[in-house]
Amino acid sequence: MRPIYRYLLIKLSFLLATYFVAVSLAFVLPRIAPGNPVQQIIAGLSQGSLSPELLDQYQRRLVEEFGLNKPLYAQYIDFLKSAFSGDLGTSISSFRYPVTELIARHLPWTLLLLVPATLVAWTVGNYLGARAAYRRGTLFEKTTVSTGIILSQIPYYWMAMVLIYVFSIKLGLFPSGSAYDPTLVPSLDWEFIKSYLHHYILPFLSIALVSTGGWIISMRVLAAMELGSTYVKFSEILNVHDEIIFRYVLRNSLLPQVTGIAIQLGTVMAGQIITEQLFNYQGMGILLARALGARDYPLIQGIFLILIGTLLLANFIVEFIYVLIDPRIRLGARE
Amino acid sequence: MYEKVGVNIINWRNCGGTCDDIVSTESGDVSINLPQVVSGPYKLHYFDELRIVYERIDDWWGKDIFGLPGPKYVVHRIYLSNEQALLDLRQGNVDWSGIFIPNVGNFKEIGTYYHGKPYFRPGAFVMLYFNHKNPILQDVNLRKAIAYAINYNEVLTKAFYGYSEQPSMSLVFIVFPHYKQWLNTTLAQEYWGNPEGKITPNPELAKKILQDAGYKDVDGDGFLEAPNGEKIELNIIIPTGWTDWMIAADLIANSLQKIGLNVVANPVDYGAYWGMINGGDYTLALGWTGSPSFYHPWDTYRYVLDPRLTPPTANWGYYNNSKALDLLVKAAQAETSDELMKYYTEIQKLIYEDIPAIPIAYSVQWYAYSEKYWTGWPNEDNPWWTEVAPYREYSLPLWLLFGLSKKGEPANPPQWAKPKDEGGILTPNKEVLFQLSGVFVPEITPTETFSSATTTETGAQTSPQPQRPSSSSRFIVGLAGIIIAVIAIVIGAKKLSK
Repeated sequence: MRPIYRYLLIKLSFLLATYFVAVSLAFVLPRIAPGNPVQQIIAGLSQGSLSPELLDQYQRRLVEEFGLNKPLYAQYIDFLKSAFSGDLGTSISSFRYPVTELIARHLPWTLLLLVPATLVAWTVGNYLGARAAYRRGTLFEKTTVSTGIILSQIPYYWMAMVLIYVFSIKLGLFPSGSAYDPTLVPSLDWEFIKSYLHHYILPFLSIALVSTGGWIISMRVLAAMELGSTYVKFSEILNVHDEIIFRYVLRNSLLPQVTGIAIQLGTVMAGQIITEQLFNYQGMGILLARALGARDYPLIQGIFLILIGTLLLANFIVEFIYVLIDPRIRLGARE
Repeated sequence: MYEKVGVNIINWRNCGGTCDDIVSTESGDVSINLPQVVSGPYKLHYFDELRIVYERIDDWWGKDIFGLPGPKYVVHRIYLSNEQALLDLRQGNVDWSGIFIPNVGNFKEIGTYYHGKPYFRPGAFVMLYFNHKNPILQDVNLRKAIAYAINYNEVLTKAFYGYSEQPSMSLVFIVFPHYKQWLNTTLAQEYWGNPEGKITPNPELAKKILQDAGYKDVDGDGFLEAPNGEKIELNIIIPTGWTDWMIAADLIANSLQKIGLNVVANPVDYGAYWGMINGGDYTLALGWTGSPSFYHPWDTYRYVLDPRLTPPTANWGYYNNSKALDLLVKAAQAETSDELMKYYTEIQKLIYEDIPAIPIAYSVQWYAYSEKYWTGWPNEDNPWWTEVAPYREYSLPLWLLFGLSKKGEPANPPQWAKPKDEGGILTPNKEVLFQLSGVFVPEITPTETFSSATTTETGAQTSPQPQRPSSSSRFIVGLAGIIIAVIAIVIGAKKLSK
């Protein structure tokens, strides 16, 4: 077998094993925590005027319907079967809605927010970081780097709160929450798009600003190391134009940042739960927070399956790209 | 639908008319487009995870009798955090709200039913439940001592913002005059020294009860042990994030520590809270009762006392007393009000003697509004309809929309909402309306001013009364922040440039 295939095969089996473990954890953890979804539905209803007998009957029906009366191992087998066949079951708290449908409805909002914010932060951060390293000692470097450090140490949700306070409550420039004007129905007409963009700016900034800071710092270090390499010195002796050397440096120090972005997408997704909650933004974060609060097992499992799956897949793709673009890994795999 | 798929239905997903309903049958899924069946003036228009939109039916069948409600669309918004909901309410993005609002009197842009305390009308009871499965809590002396030790007024003012008065130990909803008739005042006077059956806190008496019952500090840790020498370690569970309840539990625990009981507040997440209540896996819990029925306390008694019931439906304390069951059954079978009163008196006596649970406060009917777009909301000055929280589906909150008018247009409460003797059709007569809106609401005078200093003393994490900093202090804080930021940037830049 060619080493490159062996390398990918090993990576792939690792990926499957990780997926299996993670998915099993997603099954076990919510069930270990006290409380269950049916009790909460009943508790909510018990504040109304329904008679206890009726509630009791309803509770028994729900337990039976969602298979919660089965022993745990049977539930686990059911879950595995459906997990690998793509059927994620029906949500308990969003009554009888297929989990896949709920995720399909929320995922686009998260991706629309997350992907552009991360990409913009990545591009801007890398550019500024490389520039800062290249222009060592200038005022530009000092301000960029110190702003970068401060930004990168700020938690997403704190940034979100500051932005809401300043731009929404104090200045009244942007709405404080929701993904679009709640009186509109999502469509592709100009009025909706305008409202969407207006609501988009604050959550976008809260994520983009903070992660830009992180990229600036890491890129500056990488580029500074690259600047010490012999080809840069040689080019300088040859009197190659500054911009051309900068481009070489930028391109060569970008490699580790590519891995970074895959990991970043995963971690931001988790950090975004609170941001989405603060903005009442209808993405995966809010869906997960709601599912966890309601102990909605099928929904929690479904969301974790998707999150873990995409994270692992992103990492795998990055590793695959690495093999293609970095000969050192190909060589390493041979040993 | 039945004609189409018959008895083969396994599962039916009802879309409410926004998409095709899907019926699962053994031979596969069948999609059926069913029209919405609606009896009121609105129908479902659109929904997603964060809102449900209803659209007015302009040729509604009741148009000639009731007229049309004001708003063309009604949007029910769903929030995950109270903060965001409160922000929207304050900015006028939400017109009508049923959320918990700390210190509502501070927000001039939010309207409530009463202009002064208690602002809201009481709903159900907030109860301190004992887990009667726990052998330590089976001792009535301990329960009685706890009831005497709690400083109710402190809890009501500091934790519940003065939204509620002290409830009667009888579990009779005495705030409503017509309800009050079920309270045996002579009995209340005899047991608690006042005709309303409110407990006057008496820590000294609480200590004496415990001492007489044989509670002693054996191991010298400053806390009492049970007469059999067993250590007493109790905690009060409450859901995290319910800030008012967290403070209440803290204050209660603090009062109980003062009489020598080892009690702490234990906030747990909502899911865990339910798990513990349902598994009987707690010692003390702040919980609630169902809303009282319109007329008499039977439902409340049943919620707290009926041994046939278990959580989450009712009987959170796992109270098991055959006498209580007997009385409940007899009360249900009573044929005259005198007979009924006899059983209620018996039940009240049982509660006074046995302290199955302690009512701490009334949970309130969360009704608040913004007048940015719509006016005519019922309130103290304009009591054309009772105040209803938007989530009270069975109180016909929809009627409220008939009395709303766009801002600037004259308010026009519908004629039919008036009492029958004034030409209305729904409310029987003026007397009932008077009793409903003329709630007995004494002004609650806080015994002490509450400041953040007192809160730190009790160990609460949240200040119960967030105080608005004055504009000058805000300016100073802002200036200091900018100076610190500049210093940090300079130092950072210097360090890095080295």
